[in-house]
Amino acid sequence: MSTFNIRGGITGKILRVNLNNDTIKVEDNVYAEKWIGGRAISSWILLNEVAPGVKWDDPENYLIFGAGVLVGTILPANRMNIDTLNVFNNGKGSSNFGGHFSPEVKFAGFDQIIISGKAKKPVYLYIEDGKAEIRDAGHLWNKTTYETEEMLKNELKDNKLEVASIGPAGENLVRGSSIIIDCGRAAGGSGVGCVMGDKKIKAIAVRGHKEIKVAFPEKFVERAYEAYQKIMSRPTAKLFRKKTLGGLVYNDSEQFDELWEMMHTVRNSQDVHWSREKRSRMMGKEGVGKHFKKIQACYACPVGCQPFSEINEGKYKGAKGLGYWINSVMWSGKMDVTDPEASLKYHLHANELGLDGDDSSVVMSWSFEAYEKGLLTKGDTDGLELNWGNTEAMMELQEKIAFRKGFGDYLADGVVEAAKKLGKGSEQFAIHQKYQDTLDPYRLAKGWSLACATSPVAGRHMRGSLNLPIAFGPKGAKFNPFSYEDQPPMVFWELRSKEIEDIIGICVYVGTWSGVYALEPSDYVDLTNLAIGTNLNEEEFMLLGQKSYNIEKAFNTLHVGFTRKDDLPHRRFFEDPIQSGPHKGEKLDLDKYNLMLDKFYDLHGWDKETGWQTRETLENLRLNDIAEKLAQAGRLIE
Amino acid sequence: MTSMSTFKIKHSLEKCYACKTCELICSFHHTKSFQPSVSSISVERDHINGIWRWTLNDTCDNCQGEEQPLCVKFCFYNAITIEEGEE
Repeated sequence: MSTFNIRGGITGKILRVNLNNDTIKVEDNVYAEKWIGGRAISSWILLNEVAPGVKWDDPENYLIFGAGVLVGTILPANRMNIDTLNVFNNGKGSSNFGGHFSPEVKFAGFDQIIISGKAKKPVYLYIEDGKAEIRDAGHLWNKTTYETEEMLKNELKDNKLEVASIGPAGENLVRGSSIIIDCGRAAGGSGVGCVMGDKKIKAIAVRGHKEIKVAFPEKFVERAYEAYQKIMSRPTAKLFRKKTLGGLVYNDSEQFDELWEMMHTVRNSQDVHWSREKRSRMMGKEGVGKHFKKIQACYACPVGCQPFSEINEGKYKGAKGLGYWINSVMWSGKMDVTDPEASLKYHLHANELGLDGDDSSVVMSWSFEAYEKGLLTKGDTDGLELNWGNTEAMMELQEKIAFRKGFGDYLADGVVEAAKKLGKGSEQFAIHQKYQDTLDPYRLAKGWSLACATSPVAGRHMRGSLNLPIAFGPKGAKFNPFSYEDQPPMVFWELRSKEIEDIIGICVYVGTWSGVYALEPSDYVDLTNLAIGTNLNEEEFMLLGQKSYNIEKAFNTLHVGFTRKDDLPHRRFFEDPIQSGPHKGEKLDLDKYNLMLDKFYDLHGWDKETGWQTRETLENLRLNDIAEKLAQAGRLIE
Repeated sequence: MTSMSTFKIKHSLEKCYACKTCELICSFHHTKSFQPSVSSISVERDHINGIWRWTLNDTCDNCQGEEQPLCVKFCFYNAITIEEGEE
């Protein structure tokens, strides 16, 4: 049954690779007619083809790379989703990245790459123009992601090759491992690099020469140019390209004081306040920005937010590479480390190792707190003194975790597993959401908090999180970041908008979530209609986003049985007040939080008592087949 | 309007951010679809060393039929310009 009659944007093909028996199949992309593209397609395939009870390290688990429907056209649409089982909870795993890999997959002729099974020995996947080969990767194993990309480009004699690879962390099945693209874009959430390591895939190398057609070529390009003009008309657009993220991470000025209070989680989330002196050391003139050299932009993006840095002197001389984000500053704050060179090196080395900085900094800072409380001693930590601010300990632990060496092995399965091993009440400060380590702040910016706590991908901040009043959202909605009451409608709006962004592949930094705040759903629907030949309206598009989000929700209910209690933040944020700064003494109020959650469930049409989906809501969304699956499992509210 | 036959496309590596927008839109001029492999422009990126290479081959026709060369129009970093009288 044709739903959209899609006439452009997609390649129309899906690549299936089964590593159990080395089979490669190319099939028609029949899913686009129902879900258009990106994560919605991948979520649907996972829901229907990976049975409840399958664990992340079973061969039956899938690793799906899915490009947005507008990727490969003339727009800053370069994003791709990686969907699989989350290694921390066996629920929905999903990670999203930009760069130059995703368009190359489309030019190679595929919308989705679905990998199942496990290879017996290390392999890499080579994809070119509608074909794929499973190749030996023995020589690439034990190499960093930088080395892997360089070796592949050299041996295939192609400087335009695009590579997604894992580093030693993924090979060693460190749970919080990432897949690295362009040696600097990290797909970090859900342990996607760990799944890739478990399947013994070192890398995917892609080269494409094929074309992407759109339904109305001239009109589409004209409308895309307008979209570019809209992006460039925003004052922040040009700030970004001077230094990354509008200079935010290289700026210690007062104007960002309150924002940093909202963003930071200092010393394992004991605090949110980092003194001006500490922030200046990291972000002032002699801070990380001193090593900034230039920007390398993602594919077809006019903003350019990715810095290239190089350290030319001192202990970390020679360290160079792409990226350094707000998260990178937050990682150091977790350990209270204020050495800018070390922080930059830590970021770049995380990319080389394929280690997710969010996860590893959480479990590391948990160990620092256990050491502070006397629950761990030097005898447990290979002699490392895990005192707050100990740069050497942070740097050494990163390496130990990635290679599972000594005490690093103790931490390599994430904070929940580490706390189980240690016991002694350390579970009380093991900061996780739905069992995945969570870097994010939960106390002050309530919209950020609500979206992270309820995120189907467990405590990550890309599903509707808000900490600033944005230019978009439902008509008439108020937004005070600290208010409980204002958040549900805004988060509900933003998560649907984000879902659309991930279906079409538009970057969040030109969209409604953050950064330039330029393009919005009315732009998305125009551009998509012209590209794929549909006649959708904005309301229908937002509904598609809502349906896509509901697939993930159902997946978690079916596979893990998460309920309302799993949508509340960690106890620390309710019980331990902020220790210093202008918000000293503040913590979350459980009653108010529960009311906020009630309103959020109401907007979704979910049951307030269990947090589960109802038959009525799913049938209104025309997701009757999902309702049946849930009903059969006894997890649907009738 | 600039005479299409009397100018040359100039590229500044210093201003370039290696986003490949020029490569992509150039292919649109040739095919009315998006296919960088037939573009007159090629951008190669070295992510490890932070360097890139930009080249223009002889299939470039200065975007005949367009109001202005699409690579110039779509370079939002102002790295591509036209230089008069150097055909």
